[in-house]
Amino acid sequence: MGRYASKRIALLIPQLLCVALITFLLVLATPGNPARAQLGSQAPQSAVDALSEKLGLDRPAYEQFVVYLKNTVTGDFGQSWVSGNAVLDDLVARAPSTFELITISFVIALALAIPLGVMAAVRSTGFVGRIVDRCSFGYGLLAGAIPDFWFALILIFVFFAVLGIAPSPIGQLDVTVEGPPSITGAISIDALLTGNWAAFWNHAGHLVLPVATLVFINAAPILRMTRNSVLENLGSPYIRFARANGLPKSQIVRYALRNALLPIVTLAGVLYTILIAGAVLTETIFSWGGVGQYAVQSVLNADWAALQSVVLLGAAVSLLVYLALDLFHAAIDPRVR
Amino acid sequence: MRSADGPGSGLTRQQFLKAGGATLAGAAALGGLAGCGAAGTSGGGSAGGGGGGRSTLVVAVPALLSSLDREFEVGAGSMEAMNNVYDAATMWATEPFGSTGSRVPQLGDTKRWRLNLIEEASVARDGLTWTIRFKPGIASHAGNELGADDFLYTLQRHQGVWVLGAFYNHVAGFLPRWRAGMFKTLDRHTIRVRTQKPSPLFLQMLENNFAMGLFDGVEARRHATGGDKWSTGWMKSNGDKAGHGPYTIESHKPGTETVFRAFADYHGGKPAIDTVIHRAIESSSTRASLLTAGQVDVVRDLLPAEFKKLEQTRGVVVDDFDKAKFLLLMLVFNTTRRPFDDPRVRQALAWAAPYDAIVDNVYQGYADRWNGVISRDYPFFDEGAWPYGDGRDFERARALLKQAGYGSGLTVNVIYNASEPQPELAAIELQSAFKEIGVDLKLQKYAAAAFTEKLTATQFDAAVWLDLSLTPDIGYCCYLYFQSRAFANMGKYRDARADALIEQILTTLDEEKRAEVARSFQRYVLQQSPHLYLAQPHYMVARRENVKGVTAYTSRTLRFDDVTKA
Repeated sequence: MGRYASKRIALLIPQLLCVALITFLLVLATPGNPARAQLGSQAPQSAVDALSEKLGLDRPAYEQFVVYLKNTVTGDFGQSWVSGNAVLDDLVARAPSTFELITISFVIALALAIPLGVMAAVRSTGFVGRIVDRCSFGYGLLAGAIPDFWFALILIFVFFAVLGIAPSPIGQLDVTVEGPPSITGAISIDALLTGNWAAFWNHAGHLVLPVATLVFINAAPILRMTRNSVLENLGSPYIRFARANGLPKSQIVRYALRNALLPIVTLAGVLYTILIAGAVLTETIFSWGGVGQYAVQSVLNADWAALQSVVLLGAAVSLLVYLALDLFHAAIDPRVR
Repeated sequence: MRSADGPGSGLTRQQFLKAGGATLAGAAALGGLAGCGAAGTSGGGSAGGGGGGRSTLVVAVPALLSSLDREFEVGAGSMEAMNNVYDAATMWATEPFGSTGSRVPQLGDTKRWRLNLIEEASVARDGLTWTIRFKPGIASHAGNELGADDFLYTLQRHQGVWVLGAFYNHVAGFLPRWRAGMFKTLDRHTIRVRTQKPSPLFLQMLENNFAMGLFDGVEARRHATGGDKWSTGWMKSNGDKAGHGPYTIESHKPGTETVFRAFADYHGGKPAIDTVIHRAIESSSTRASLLTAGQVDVVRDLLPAEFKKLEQTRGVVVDDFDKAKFLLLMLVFNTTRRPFDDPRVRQALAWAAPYDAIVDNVYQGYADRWNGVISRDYPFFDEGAWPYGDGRDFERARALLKQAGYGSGLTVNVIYNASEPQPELAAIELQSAFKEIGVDLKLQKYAAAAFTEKLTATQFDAAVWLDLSLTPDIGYCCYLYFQSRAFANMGKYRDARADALIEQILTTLDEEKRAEVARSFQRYVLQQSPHLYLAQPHYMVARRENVKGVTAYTSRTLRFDDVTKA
């Protein structure tokens, strides 16, 4: 297991290099000259050329990549021309908000989808079972077909604009609420640590709609996978044998669920990486101020340093999640090693 | 021996139920917690609006400031920040707009304008030598007294950095770039500047905060480095510290909010609103909803349908500044290549364009026909110069195309900015109308940065572009868009006669003669049609009814010290 783990971890380095190269090439191919974007449409071409030279944009692509790689390895992700800050500082300031949002959504999605999936599988027969099964099927189709940004706008319209029971989509706190001092960067944790209950409750309120959006859209595949996987296991010979031995239904379900967990865990890992991408539009709609919103602004403003770093961060997190999944698989299934 | 997967090593039924129950309870608790939070905040906005009382103004904006250096072109968020942390030397007088407490400026009236930072600006008989005397006792945010040396620093910084200053100093007449004796401080508060030729524009540009506004030169110089003589690196994020306007910047969280605080030592007296919050809300529908709910005080940049809805909303006032049309919606032709190197093709499209449809359908009435080359609300606008009637004259358009050799039709690529909804809708209206004359428009949408790059590099056949000119002067506007070498002449229109007329407009002090040249210029350029002059959107502001004093400046920014909140 140790050897497998070392090999798998070593593989991260070429993977990250490939991601860095692909990110660099994609950004290079993106239309929009950062020097022109920075100086504006009315700047003379001589000023644009001078800034391009200063930023190294006039050098060949391979030279730019080598410089980019060197800087990245030393933790210098460049400077965002839009915010005026070092990109690393921007990411450090914004990433906790994003991870807070997607982690809460992830936990709730699993907490809802797995029991519901099991319930749908166990009660797949009879009138109630058919209703449960069809509801879960319909929900799966609906959640798969609805774009997250549209669903977020509908939630805002219904719960904020019409019913007036949700807080405004104005960010992580109301304008009049003073946030806690930044310790971890995640307001819920910082508010708890500092005992700032006003900020905690206010922030919890602001989490409702974005979390509901991400959970609604992303819980569906987990629910379907759990249902199918448990259903498949419930029909397998070892379950029939268990039934024949007169074991109680709950114990049989537990056996089936345990064996069904492997694909569910894989999907859950994939889901976490999908949530990182899903946060981009959700954050933008709820003015969340996290990495996702930062990414959108970077694209629109040709803020290349910021864009490259956001993509690299997303890729690195995804690779780490996949690494954890591989190690988990190896731990529970020796054939993988 | 039990297997690892055997019943004995797994969860018992009770444990499974407990774990499942705990998970569900946790989820429900979090949901409930959030629900409580929601309930606790749903009433956060006061009925009066903004949620921050009378001393706090909350403005929802699509984007926050990105720079505080006026040398570089920036977005609306930055312009609004700069117009509040810096003051212009003079300001146009204003008069009430309707009866809702809002105001409009008296553009171009230098006899009635407010001398803000200066006591006097006079020109010698030669028409070249200007003497400007600054008021004593104007304190900067850093605590220094401003004066002639700071104005000198501003002008020299334009010459040194040479980005937007290149344009400003050029039209003001500070040419060539390093001419000796252009600027001279006579004493602490008096400066003498000499233009190369008589410059009617110089005086008006004193009102343009971005062109002739002061920096605290002492503070700015302190942050110069060997490689950055003009402190551009420092100014971008800290420019407010070299400011002297009614507000300072207390905090700025990129992507979230900027908090402005009233400057206690402001020379015009401390503003009524103590705190102004710029909150970044990208979605226009969300900004409209927040205003309706009373959670913000002012919103702008909404879709016409959203303004229509807000007009019917209790507690909300929509200012439709139909006497403050500064934005210009144009279709710019690339005149360096076929087919738009031929004026007949440009004229054909001008005859065929659906001007009324753009005003009615794209802007739903919140715009006017432009019918000119400069804003309708700027001095010297010539109503009678427009030769293309109401447009949609397809017969005449087809005849012109036939004369130009395009009788069988042509295909044109049109680019536009994806972040602005109206240009896309206008392009669709044009596409529909031009089909009638056999002109097939291929619409190409680009993200803001890519659009700017294509526009400035003239990589297009035609481009739908929204822009404005800050100074309401015909010389400024015409140089900006039509002079052969001007940066904003995106279609690379080059015409010796137009250049000669612009030169006359920029160097003629006599008002009557200038008006005559301005008339000739407008008639000539409209005939040449280097752009299609599509529409002029109104400046639109939606606010809570207790917010008064909004003024429609040409920069389309709020001066926070104009505003009061009941």
